[in-house]
Amino acid sequence: MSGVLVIAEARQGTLRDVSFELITAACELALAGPVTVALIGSDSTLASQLNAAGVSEVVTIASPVSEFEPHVSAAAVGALIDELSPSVVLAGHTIDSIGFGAAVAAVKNTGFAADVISVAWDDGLTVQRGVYGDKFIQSLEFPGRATVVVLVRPGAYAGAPAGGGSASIRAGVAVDTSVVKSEHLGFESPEAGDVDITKSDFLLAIGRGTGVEDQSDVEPFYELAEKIGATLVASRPLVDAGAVPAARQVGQSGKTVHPKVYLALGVSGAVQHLMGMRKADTIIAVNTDRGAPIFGIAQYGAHTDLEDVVRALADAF
Amino acid sequence: MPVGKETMKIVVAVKAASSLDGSARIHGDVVDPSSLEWEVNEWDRFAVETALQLKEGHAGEVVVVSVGGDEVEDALLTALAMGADRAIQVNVEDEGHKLDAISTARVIAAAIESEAPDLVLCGAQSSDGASAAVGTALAALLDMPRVAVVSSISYTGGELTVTRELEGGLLEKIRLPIPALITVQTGINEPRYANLRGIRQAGSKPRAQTTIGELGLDEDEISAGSAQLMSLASPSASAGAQILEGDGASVASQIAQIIKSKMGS
Repeated sequence: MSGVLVIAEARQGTLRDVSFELITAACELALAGPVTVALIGSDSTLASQLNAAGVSEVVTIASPVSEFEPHVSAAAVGALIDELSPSVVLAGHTIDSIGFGAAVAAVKNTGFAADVISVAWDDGLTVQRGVYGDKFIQSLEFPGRATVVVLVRPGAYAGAPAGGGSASIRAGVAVDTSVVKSEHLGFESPEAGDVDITKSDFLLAIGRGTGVEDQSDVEPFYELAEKIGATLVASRPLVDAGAVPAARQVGQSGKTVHPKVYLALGVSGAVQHLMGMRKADTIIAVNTDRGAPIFGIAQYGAHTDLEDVVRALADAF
Repeated sequence: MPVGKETMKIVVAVKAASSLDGSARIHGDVVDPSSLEWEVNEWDRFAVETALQLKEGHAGEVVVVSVGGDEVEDALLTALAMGADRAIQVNVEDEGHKLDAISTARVIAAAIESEAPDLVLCGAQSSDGASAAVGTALAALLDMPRVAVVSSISYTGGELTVTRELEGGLLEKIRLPIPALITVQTGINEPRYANLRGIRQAGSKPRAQTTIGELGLDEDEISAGSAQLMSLASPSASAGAQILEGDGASVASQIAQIIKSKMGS
């Protein structure tokens, strides 16, 4: 039982950033043993990119299908656990990997933790993860577990530079066609919408705390945004409710933005929302809920009644 | 009539999720139970609605299942009032330390295996634990094909066509046979509120009660779960925001100043 197995992620022929973040996390667990990176797929270009500093071995697992398929991934990772007996398996807490990570853990009876924000090794694995929207942080250990499957939150670690390593690259055991249970019919890109929010330096974000329920409630915020020179964006609940178009959604399932200023009104700061805006230069949050997670990453905050601030903001510019 | 099996037996796993009131405190390594408020997990309301719409379109039965302490009863009654036909409640006594995701999946698998459902629906994640793991683990334990994080679903001729919602809003269309398990993303539909008639009827709908022991599972193993909680703590305060004080006008004016300086105008 030793070593760390990283499950890389690729989509539409390209490695996803989280793959390199996982390599960084794996290297921090160096005391657990050598780092093996698994690529489900046979693309040699992707395999050589995964040959980053600190990686001992890259294993490519030939898949019977071209895109992600959760049962193929589960079978591939299960077989690698049998073969390598890794102490730790690292995958992303991503839409793809949450489709197979817990399945592997349940079937192989391993330790398990999801949405993990940090990992450490000291004679055994310790991980930290947030609960209640990161209001509290759990520390978990896994006594008696030969293997632990850990899904690491995207962005929790900086990505390792691609390539440049001295790993050996080999083909592992291919996954059989009989494993495939679902059929990929195609991808569909999100609608472009009337505005590209990633191009704006100043975003005015509204969340559930604004009390907005439908399109007519949003009008005053469009007017405010125009008045102060910002582009209006929203968190997921307002998009789900049909109040704001999806093209203006910031977060994991929406856009990732890097504006100079992100002014968040009534945004609580769900993990998925923070993923899309934590790289803004300056974050200002107004929310009467003093415990809202958004205050954990904002540089400036206010707990003032939102209506009062909104009314005064238009005149303050 | 269209070909294929049209009557569906659908099981929906429902969680009573907790949220913190303003004064949430940690006692030892758990959140003080008196500062928790319980309601049906947001994602699970969308899953129940998905099941009800499929039943309305194809006929069949919707069974809701939940695992936990006393708070579970209200969650199941809510789902029954929305229109589910019957409920299975698995009672767990140890209220402080909730079962982890994999253990929860093991318990649900044992509770619904004999139901032989055509479709199992779960919320994509819970608002409190947020592991997004129960559905995926449950599918593996039931040996059911699965798709996680689905934002649209249709069923014809014995096959499901679903849309998986990926990062950045990219959508993937997938076809799979039933029986299957789907985890449901918010926004897939508009969950109905229970009407008075539904609420009145809920109490008289069949509700089966069972326990981990009665399901033939090892209570110690289930309770131990797949990880051991060492501590629960508040994040370090150093990361906190600088708080702007004053009334609305004053705060707005401070915000405007900050924005003007950061925008370089």
